[in-house]
Amino acid sequence: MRNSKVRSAVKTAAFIAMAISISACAITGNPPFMSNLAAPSPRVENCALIQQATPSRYVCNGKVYTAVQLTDVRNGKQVDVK
Amino acid sequence: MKGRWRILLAALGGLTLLGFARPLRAQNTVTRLWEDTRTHQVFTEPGRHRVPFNFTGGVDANAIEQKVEERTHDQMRAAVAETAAQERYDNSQVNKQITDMQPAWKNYISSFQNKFRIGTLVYLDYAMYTHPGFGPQFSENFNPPGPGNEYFNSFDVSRVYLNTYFTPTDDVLFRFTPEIYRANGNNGSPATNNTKIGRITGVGSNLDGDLNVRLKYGYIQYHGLLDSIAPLKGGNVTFGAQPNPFIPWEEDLFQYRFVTLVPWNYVGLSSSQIGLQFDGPIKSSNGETTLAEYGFGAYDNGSFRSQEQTNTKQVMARGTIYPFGAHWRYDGLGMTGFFNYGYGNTAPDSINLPTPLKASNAHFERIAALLHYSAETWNLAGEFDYGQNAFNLGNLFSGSGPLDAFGTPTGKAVTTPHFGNACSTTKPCYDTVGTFGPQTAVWQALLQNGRERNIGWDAFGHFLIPNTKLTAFGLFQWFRPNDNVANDPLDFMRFVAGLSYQYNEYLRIALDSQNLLFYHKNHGITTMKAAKFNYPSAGSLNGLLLPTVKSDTFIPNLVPRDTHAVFLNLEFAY
Repeated sequence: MRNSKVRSAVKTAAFIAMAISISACAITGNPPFMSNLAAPSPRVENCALIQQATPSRYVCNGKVYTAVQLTDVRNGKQVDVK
Repeated sequence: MKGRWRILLAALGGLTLLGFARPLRAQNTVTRLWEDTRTHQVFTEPGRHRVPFNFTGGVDANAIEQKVEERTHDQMRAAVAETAAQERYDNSQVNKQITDMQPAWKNYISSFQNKFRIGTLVYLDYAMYTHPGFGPQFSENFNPPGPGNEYFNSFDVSRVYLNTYFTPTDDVLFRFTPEIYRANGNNGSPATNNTKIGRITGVGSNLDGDLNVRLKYGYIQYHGLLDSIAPLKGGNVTFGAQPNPFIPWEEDLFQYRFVTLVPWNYVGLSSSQIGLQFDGPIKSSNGETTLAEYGFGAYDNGSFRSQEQTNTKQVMARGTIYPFGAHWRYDGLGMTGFFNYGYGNTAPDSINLPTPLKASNAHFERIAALLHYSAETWNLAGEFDYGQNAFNLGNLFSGSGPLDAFGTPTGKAVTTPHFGNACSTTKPCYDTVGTFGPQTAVWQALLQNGRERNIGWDAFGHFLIPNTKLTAFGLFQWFRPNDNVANDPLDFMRFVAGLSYQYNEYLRIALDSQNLLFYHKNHGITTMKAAKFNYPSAGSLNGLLLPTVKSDTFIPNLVPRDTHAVFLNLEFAY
């Protein structure tokens, strides 16, 4: 009885997740979990989080960026890092 | 008669003259003279060969008035000009002062902006416990109910930091970070919870689960102590309530602190200590790569949230070596060692009192050895843990535990002679089933006899799914709280597996499964066997008598129930 309830809950959650994904894909034309390859690089999802601080620090392509600098890159601004 | 008429006529004439007379005004009197052109004589009347004589020194009222007016205008103009010149000068002085002030004011503002920063770290969660059980908390402020409460679920706030940093100079930093925590203290007993004021006044307890604010970090850090030595450039010395040299370092390596705790943190070592610490890198000769890192210090034996009581201190040290050099923190292959030694947080006048269960008095020791490899999109780490007296009953039940471990007996008391005791209504005894009393006493003995030896093995890592914002992550921990106990009922395994989504630079979401498994088959031990670990020979707990050692009573059900839960975790970091 308990196992069937668990299976039912898991199935329901999976269905909801799929529905949200399909809806988002239909609306935006871009699957929500995919990286936007057309966006400026580097993108935060491809970087390693090396320190959770204020601001957090990431490593991308061997260079260290802060979260604020990665936001600037994403917004098309020029960012110089060492 | 004629004389009178003459006199009268003269009077009338005089009166007439007086009536027509007008007072003479100097400015209206015009003196006219005539000059004879042949003889140049001046006459008062016009005549032949006579022309008006222009007296250069003569009084011409209009001309004088005009001249006076012109002179007055000239004087006024001069006065106005002088006033204007003075005003211009004064204004220039004021403007100069203002000009001098503005750069200083602007400099202060721009300097302040460069010297102060503020940020936040927030962990929010939704948890569904399909199988709740007793055990350590999966994360801070997680206190689910125990067995029998299947599908318990909750929204939680497990962390809120407000990070403030002030750097008045380049080499000095002050950090202040308050955090939230849940206040638990109301056990439902009016006699012990509420506050008594005076003889007849009471105030109800408000320790009812409020999220309160406390200090997590408050320290001053000096950067550059060893900058004169090139390989040691970048070292720090820190004083105050600060991140210790190991747990925060491992949390950053793991990258999923917002989901769960790293191994030693899970079994009781806090991430914050109060003390004095040195840390920094060891660079290559050209300064381009880091060959090693170090961190060591002396701290209070009590955690950052407890009152220090001892006259000793604990020490911690961590060293990391990068055999191939590291261009960034954690880069490539690394080997890390951690050592911690300290004493129970007990006052000097009590620490040497004889007691069979020494948990709060005994020394403690923790060691960790890690081998780790990090790339930008994945990492993997393995860890071995060794400890002595580093895991007690409070750590075991930091999430939740049976009431018997917190001062309240469970189950139905026995009031007739049993288990070697002369049980009665005035001296009731614990039963061995339907309760957690004797079990709690056995667990206490296994964990707190002062000879506990902890052994653990762990692994964790993550992997970015290519071309997505999704990362698979996992953690496995196997921990033996006391490997001196054969078939220890408290041996457990923990595993966490999930998928995270990086929405942007500040926001991450994870869906994961977290599980605590007490993996031995359910079993019990006799009181004689438990006595080897200082189970009390004839003791009591929560006012009820425990089965005696001499009776060799079998105490069943020593293996706690497993815990299984599904989490949705959210992290916001700025």
